[in-house]
Amino acid sequence: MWPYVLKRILWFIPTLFAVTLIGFILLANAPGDGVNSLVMSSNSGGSLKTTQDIEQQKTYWRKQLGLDLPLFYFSICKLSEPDTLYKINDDVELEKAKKHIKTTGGYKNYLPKIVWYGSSNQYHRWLFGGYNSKGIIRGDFGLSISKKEPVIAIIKDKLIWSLFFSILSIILAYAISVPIGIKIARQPESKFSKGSQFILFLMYSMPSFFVGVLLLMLFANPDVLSIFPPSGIKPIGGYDDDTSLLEKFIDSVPYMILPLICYTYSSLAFISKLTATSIQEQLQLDYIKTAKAKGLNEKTIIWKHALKNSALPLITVFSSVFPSIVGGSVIIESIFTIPGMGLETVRAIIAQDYPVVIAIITLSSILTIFSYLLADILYAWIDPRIRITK
Amino acid sequence: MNVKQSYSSFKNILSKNRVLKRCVYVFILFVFISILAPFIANDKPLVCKYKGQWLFPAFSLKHQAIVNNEIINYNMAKDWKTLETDFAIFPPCAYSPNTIDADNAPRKSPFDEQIMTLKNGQIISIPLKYRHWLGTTQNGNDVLSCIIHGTKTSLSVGIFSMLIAGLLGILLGACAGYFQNNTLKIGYIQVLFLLLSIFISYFFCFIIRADKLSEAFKEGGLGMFFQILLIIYIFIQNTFILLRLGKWIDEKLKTDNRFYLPIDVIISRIIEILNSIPSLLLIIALSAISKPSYSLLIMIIGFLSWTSIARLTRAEYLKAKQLDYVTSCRAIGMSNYRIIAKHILPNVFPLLLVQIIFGLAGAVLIEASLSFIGVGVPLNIITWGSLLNEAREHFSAWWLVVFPGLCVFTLIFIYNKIATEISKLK
Repeated sequence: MWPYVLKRILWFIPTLFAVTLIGFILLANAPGDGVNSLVMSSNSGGSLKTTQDIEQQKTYWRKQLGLDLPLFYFSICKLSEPDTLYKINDDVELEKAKKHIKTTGGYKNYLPKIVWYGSSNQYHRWLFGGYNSKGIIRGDFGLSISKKEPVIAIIKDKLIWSLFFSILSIILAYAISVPIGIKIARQPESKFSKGSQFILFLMYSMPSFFVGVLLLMLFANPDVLSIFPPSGIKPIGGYDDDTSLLEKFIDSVPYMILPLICYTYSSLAFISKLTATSIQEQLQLDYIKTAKAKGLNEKTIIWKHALKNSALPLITVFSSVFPSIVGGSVIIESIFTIPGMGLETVRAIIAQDYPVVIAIITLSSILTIFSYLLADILYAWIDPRIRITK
Repeated sequence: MNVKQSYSSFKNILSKNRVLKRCVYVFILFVFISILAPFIANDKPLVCKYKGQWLFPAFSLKHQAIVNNEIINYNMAKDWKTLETDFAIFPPCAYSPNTIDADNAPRKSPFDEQIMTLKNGQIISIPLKYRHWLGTTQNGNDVLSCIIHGTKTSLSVGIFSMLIAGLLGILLGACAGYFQNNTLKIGYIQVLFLLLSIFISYFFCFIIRADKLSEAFKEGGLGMFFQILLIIYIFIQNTFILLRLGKWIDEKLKTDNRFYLPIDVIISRIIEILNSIPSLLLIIALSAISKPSYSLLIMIIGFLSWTSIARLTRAEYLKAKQLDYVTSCRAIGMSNYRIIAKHILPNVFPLLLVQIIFGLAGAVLIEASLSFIGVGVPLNIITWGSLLNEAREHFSAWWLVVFPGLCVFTLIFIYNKIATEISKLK
């Protein structure tokens, strides 16, 4: 078992590395000058009067954010370009310099060269830490431009809400759809299974934003039925200091019902269908006949024997349901204004706060990778054959 | 199999399966609506007679016509309905999606009393042929017209992105499944040349042409598409030339330093990496970084969603490779390319088609979701998703929820149903 787990973990390191690289490429190509907006927004009081002061502030922030470093470990550039071109931060100046190089470079413009910068670069600093940064491996995702706080402090609470909803909805989805799947597998021709299959298929095709807005329109609308609150996750005005955790939870329940329906309904069809087909396969095998001949009742046969053997595909689904829920949270959270990662992504994109966006993408990819890893290990734990053959 | 044969077999399948037949017909209806949208929903009349002259404003490419020395601007929205024409036939829905009907401006329901101001200032109840059958939006756009014109966006985003994804997925999946890790032999010199070709292509694509690239990506549209094609061409050409060169040198030197190229491992890793990034988040970030346009969205969806198709293709090719017909093909010395493209592909294509159609549903969902949250899509074009977005602030406007939502639902449902019915055929 353990060698297999170790091997899996080792395989996941390059994936993690590639995911962070994609995140970094996105961050490096983000439009707009973050430092400029940072300095300008802090200068709204007018404390920096001369342009020289502003330039000084900009240089200071560039150093703080590590933007005075080269982008990557190496760079591929024209032979005519000097290897310190990255030090020019002003776009206009850079354009001028490049034009000058182009006109004077001659044949050297068309020959490549590789410049090696070593480990003092933006990517290394972003990933492993460096001057004024701990790196994302220690949980430091840099500074949010619009809020001027560390990104991780912003994301932390949001992550808890998103995880809370996604884990709860996964549990709910399994709790509802596995029994349905079993019922369909036992009597595939009955009215119940045909009807439920059709309804589940309809639900599977429903876009989550449609369902969300429809639910709000029907159940949180003073004109129709005002059962649930339309947005947020806790009562307006917050809690008193002396309310207990249980009371807080009970107060929040009405806020959670509609979002949870939205999170859960679309995966029901998928999981129940999978349960039904894999249990149907199991029911035709000999060991089920043996169990029947032994005189076991049908409930024990299905829940104790068949379900255990058909658990493998269900685990696979678990690892693929998770990323789709993370992605779907963008929509559901912005419908119900849940302060989670999805809503934060939309806010950050509208505010052009790219460090936050990239941090959310990188973090959720890492979480997804871990869910794959978890699924693989569960796989090996349930089915010992996998450990040996792979 | 020629076109006539495949058409007749397609008809044969449809006549056997009634559900599939209905779904395909509804899909064809969607396609027709999207193509004929300007003639179904337009604020200009199809035919009219004005001061003794026949005009065809809806079909005309020009923006104005001259009648009796009077210039008529075709795009003056209100004009056509209040103009005293002798005779006019309007399209079934007499509004364009961007027509703003100020009389019925803040959200008129389909059952509300709708009004219309005549040229002389008289306010009358709207005639039946100019009614907003599905109500109006906040600004006074006609919902039915927006839905009809939104069909084109939803259909084309799905179809074109899946075209890219299907090509990429089948190509890479087939390579991974057929060659695996123990078929393609490659010399060390060739690997060296491969790395060199990537380096050189990168330099020529992205460093030398950096200005042109950034310009094209800012503009978007066809220019950007052309640039991407050019990049792919440069990469393929360089790789081809340098691999040949490497092979030639290898043969001259007669080295025996050869090893198997682990194509399967490489492609499986790429798939795993792409799968582990939540694609909706990545699409949002990517389309926020560049200027939003539908051509970019199509490419992003295409280049991100090939993984599921590739995984299936790989599995099917792995299975097919064990079968007797492939073994006999190889025994008579057929080239790998011919086996992959002409013998295995026709056998596994129906299965891949199912996956591609499921992907179509996914792409439609992504497009609608993005326009629902209003990120990464051009905001001046009204689509099904953006209509739903308007309803978020005004729950009383049920017609803004129900009709566009049902359209998205119907399209996704049809795609899913067609895919499941095709997969049941065997």
